[in-house]
Amino acid sequence: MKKKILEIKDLYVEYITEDGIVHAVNGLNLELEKGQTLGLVGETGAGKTTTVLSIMKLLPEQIGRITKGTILLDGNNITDLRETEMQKLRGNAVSMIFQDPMTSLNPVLSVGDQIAEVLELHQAELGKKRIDERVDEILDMVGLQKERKVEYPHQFSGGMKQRIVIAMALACEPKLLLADEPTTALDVTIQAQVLEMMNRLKDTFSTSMMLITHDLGVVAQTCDSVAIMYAGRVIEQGTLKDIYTAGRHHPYTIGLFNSIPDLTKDTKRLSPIKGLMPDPINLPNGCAFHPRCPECLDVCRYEMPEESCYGTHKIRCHLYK
Amino acid sequence: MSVPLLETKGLKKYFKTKNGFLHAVDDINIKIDEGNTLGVVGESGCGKSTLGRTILRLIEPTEGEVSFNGKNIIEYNRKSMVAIREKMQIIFQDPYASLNPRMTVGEIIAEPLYVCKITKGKKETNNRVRSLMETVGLAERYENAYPHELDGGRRQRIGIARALSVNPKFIVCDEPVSALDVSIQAQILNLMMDLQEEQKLTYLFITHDLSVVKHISDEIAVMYLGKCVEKAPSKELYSNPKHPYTQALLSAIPIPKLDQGKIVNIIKGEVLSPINPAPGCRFAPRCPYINKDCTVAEPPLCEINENHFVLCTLY
Repeated sequence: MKKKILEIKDLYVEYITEDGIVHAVNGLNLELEKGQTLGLVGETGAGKTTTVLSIMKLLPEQIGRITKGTILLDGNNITDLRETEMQKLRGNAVSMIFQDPMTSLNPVLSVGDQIAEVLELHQAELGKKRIDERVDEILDMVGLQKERKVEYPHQFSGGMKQRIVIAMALACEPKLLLADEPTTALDVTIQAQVLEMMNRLKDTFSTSMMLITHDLGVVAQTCDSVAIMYAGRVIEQGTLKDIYTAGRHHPYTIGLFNSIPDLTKDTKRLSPIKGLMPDPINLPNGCAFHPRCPECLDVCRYEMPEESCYGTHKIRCHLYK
Repeated sequence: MSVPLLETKGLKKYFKTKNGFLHAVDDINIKIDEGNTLGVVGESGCGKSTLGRTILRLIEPTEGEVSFNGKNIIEYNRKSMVAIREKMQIIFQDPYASLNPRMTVGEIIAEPLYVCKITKGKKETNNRVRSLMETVGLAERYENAYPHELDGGRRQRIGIARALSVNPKFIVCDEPVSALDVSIQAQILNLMMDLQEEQKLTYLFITHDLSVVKHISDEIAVMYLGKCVEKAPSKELYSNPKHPYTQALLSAIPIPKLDQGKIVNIIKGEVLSPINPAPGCRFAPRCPYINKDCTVAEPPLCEINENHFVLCTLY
């Protein structure tokens, strides 16, 4: 069996707000093998970003906390690590690409300095001269001219800014890269360029990657396995083949696929999922999807379904038992 | 042939900037017949939103004509413009920024009714607001709620109800579903198609997402740096794209299927600045089929098939 770079077991995360406790992640199980790419798919509020922030241990202080569960990074339990220990892991073992390239760069620091900062913090032993050389190498790698490292973020276009953010995340050659909607803010032609580049770099560094997205098209092109999240739980996961071609699916997955306009077919109407995402402060009993589910059974209303396994394919639904 | 409901002739909008003129909309000629939808597609910065706003004169055009029902509305004074806006409405892109946070849902939808003096008295207004909310699928209990209490999909429904309140004939839809999740996006698209059928609405549907317009449009115009580079009936454009930019745009859409393979046709480079563009085809620097004619003069608009126009030297 292949070694696992990331293993999340029965993770619960909640945020404490004025309106009550937000149950963002509710018993999440995830595994990622070395060198693979996992696509984490779900709509706004499904808990995708919270999951990644828990792995990075960047949940907002005081408000957000892990209440239960373990996160194993490369076999080591990082759930209870102290901040100083975690700081050593960030950048080298695990690193993150944030969602919005426009706001995740510091506007008053030159691009070169921002990339150098990552190296100074996490690989100080390199020395100043080596860090400078390394910045040039990294810029070249993501397809930017090294002469431009003295420029500031506002002088770059959105696609270029995202390349810089990716360069920063890969600067220390992390073992695991968490990419939170890296291409959502980009135009399709630029998105294609950036995805192609990320795939290439992932192979060069043999990095494992977790790609968060709501776009099932992007997943089909870049990932090896897929996990679909709804209301803080993984409701279906498996290899690309399991999710895209197998016969059985969670009703939510089916709804998600039906909502996407199909370019190859001529249907006039779309068939969306009825209703809205449940409020995470007040989740429904039983299966969280039951109020929107077209195939809702009686048992769905009060009992949370267990995961049914078909080889690599896992579905959490009462229809499959 | 009957007069198209909306027509633009040589519509231009140049913005003056420190470094010269920014050609946001450059010589756009479109026609939309009543009850039809024209999809306008392009990447950020291609001028599609400016086009939508210029048509409604929310931005004054630099040159050109906009005809509504055969009359050039550019010549209208302020008073007749207010009157004609009853017939021409807009749904904005961002359902978070386009609603006044200090007004309740009911007040937001009622506002155009007061401005255009459509309903008389409070009772009639209230009834109209309720029936509009029902049309767009908003529960009555939200009437006294404020926009921040609602999610993106419901907010976009408010935007649609507000646009519909004055019984318009023509609506500019400026990326109405881009800010929404896919399952909600499909709900809103279905709603807009139903409303079009019931009320014989005409849409100018602006979006960056080619897969969205395919469903809703009769005709599609592809824009690049202020120019319309290709215009064709919806089916024709998807089955037989001719302009290299349209081809690249179509092949860059990630398709949620396995057998489609990886993207082959990735175009290089990024969109150039629309400020003082160089002569010739604006797509030339990124075009894989560039030849020497492309940088000399602007290519002529050719009709290669019935109603299928391409702006490219290849044809």
